[in-house]
Amino acid sequence: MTGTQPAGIPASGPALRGRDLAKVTSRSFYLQALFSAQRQQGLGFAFALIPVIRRLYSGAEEQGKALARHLGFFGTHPVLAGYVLGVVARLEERRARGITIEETQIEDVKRALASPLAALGDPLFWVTLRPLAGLVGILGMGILPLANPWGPDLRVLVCPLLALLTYNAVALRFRIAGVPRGYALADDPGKLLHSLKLATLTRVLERSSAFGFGVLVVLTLSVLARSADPASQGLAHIAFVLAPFVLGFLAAAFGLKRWPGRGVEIALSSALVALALSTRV
Amino acid sequence: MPAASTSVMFQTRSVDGGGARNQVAAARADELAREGRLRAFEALYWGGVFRIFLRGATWSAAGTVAGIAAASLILPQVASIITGPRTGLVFAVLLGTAFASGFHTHVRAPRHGPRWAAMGALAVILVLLHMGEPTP
Repeated sequence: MTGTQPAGIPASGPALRGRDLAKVTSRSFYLQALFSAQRQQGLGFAFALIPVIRRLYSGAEEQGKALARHLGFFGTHPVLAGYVLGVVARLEERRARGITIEETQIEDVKRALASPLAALGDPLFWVTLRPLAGLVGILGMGILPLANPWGPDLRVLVCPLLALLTYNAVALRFRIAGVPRGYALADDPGKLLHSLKLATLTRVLERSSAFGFGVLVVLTLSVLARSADPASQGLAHIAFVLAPFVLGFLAAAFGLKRWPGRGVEIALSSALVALALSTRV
Repeated sequence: MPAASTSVMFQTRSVDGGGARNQVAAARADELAREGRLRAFEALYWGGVFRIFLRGATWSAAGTVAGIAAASLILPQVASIITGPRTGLVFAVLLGTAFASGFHTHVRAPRHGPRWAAMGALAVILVLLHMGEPTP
């Protein structure tokens, strides 16, 4: 970039500007618009790099060749793709300045970064952060007081808003920092990967998630216990009222152990069984 | 294909609704790159972005309308059998199912999950006791 010239780039020749990297960042949000099984995010990657290509290469032929280099297969975690884009932007900059960088070298770097970022990104964003965001939304719904008992319950708006805020508070940071950080640390991809501390963040979020679940269980049971026995009719009454809840829990707990990932099917089956049994109530 | 991890599975389900169309777009993108037409490629890509937004918006609106229509047709027919206790029973079972699913996601999978869940539960019990609220 002009102003802060990275080491290893000759002073002469086209140079990327901060504005170019900002444009790449903004385009990286659309990375998956033309996702396909064969190339995955390949077209999106090339689309995001166009500001870089325009800055570094003049003439339709040169620009077309640069674009074609990035239209092939590319697949990584979408939130973390910016780091690869930043590294590739810097390699393209060097290539445009006359430093010998083969096409295969750029392709190798892309693949070498994309795989670990996908492997680290999945457990962090899909498996941990997304459920945690949902949990925070539900907790918000449970903790916030009802503003107007006679009007509409506006907490239903707070719940998705909190979930979105929680997810994006973490994900947006990676999306925005990705391209400039990848550009700055392009010479040392290992250091780049290590500096993200993705595994540590996953562990912290996992623990927060488990902590939040404990909070939710107690809050819910406290409300259920209160509403199940308003006239203090005794433990037997509470047990009778809570029995369907416990049965649903046990059925799903064993069901999910046997058929992981089939939560919706198990929930629907449980609801149908409950509906059939309820006709006797 | 080392990068084809679970994120790809999610993407294939959620984003790749227009898979065949996107493959055609990929072939067209190759042509445009050969001809050096960056602007045309950008237009092609923005078209894909627009399609995704249009599809998402259509599904959201259409799904809402369809759901309300189905409910308004079905619910009056079954109103006599939907009593408070029956609804409560189904709701309680579904709530239990949701908690089991949450347990698998938040507590069982992570290392030391049960310990952290117990700490969360204990923290709320202490808060409830402090506030004089009934605890489970």
